[in-house]
Amino acid sequence: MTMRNFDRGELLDRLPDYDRGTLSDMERRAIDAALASDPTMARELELIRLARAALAVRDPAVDTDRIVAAIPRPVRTRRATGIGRWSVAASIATLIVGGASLVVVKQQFATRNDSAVVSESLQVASANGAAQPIATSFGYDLSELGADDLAQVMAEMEKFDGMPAATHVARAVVPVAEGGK
Amino acid sequence: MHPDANAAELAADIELIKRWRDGDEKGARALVERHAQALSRFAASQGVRDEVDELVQDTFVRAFAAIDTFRADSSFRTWLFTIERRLILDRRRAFRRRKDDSEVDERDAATAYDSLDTLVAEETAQRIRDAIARLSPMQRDVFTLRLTEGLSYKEIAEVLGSTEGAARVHYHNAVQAVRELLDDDAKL
Repeated sequence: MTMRNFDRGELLDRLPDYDRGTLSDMERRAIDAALASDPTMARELELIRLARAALAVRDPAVDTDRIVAAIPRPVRTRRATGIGRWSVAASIATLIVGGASLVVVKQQFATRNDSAVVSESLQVASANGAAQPIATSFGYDLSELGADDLAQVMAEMEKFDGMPAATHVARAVVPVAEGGK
Repeated sequence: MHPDANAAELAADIELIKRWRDGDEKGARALVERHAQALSRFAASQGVRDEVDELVQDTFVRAFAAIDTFRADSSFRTWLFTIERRLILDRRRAFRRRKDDSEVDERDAATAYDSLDTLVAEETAQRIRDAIARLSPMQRDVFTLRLTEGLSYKEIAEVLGSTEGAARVHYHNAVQAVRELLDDDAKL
């Protein structure tokens, strides 16, 4: 192993590590050599030893058991259990069924004679009168709406639907509404 | 400390942290056993006289609660020192709100080791402790961390929120100051 040349400052920096015995062999030998010819450095090492000894006797006792008891439990990823797991499953099923229903309805609108579908709806509304609203989810009776209103409602609904068939349905409704006037 | 030794210490600590995360309490116990004494020494060197045990405990509680923030850029012990020092500063601030600032500092510096005086028979050791107590707070922190804990200047800088170069200067100034204080005492 080749001996590296340390300057005096580097060696002084390492004196505490030398005293603790944590230096590499090369560093230790370099300091050994320097100490033999540098009384000031040797004096500093002596001071370090005395200071370490003086400080070491002051170790306050610590209660390991008490500390360990106070340490929080590790936070682990919470697994879905019992009701929670069923809730998740039910939510997913609801979303799937609901979504599938919407798709089926949209496909019916898209594949059947769209004019006929809307006409049927309007006829049902007309036959049942205000007592039998076609749909209640809009917050009002669809039978009260004119053809233009229905077309506008359908167009607005299509904005919330990413299905490709949606635009087709919207286009299909308009001629019927106009024809119904 | 030698870089290889540092790396081995860090690897051992990381393994213990992993064990604790996996639900093994022995991992936490081993970490406490490895570092609690160093934390208590550091607390004493900071002038903490009462409830050192509680301070060390709080340090570990904080550390384990925030273990995810430990990035292993420095050693686990350095990280603990950083947390403990913050707690000490918080306590001092709280204490100062109740007491006069200067009175607290004077008392801390002059009597940091009073409770142990009776245990220390050797006169030189006492003189050295007195000399260390008269260092500036920053010099005392650097000197203590370097000598008793063997932290590198880089690690000391991390604990104290300073720079590596400043830590080195503070250390050498502290050594010089302690030597001069001892020489002055010897002349009396």
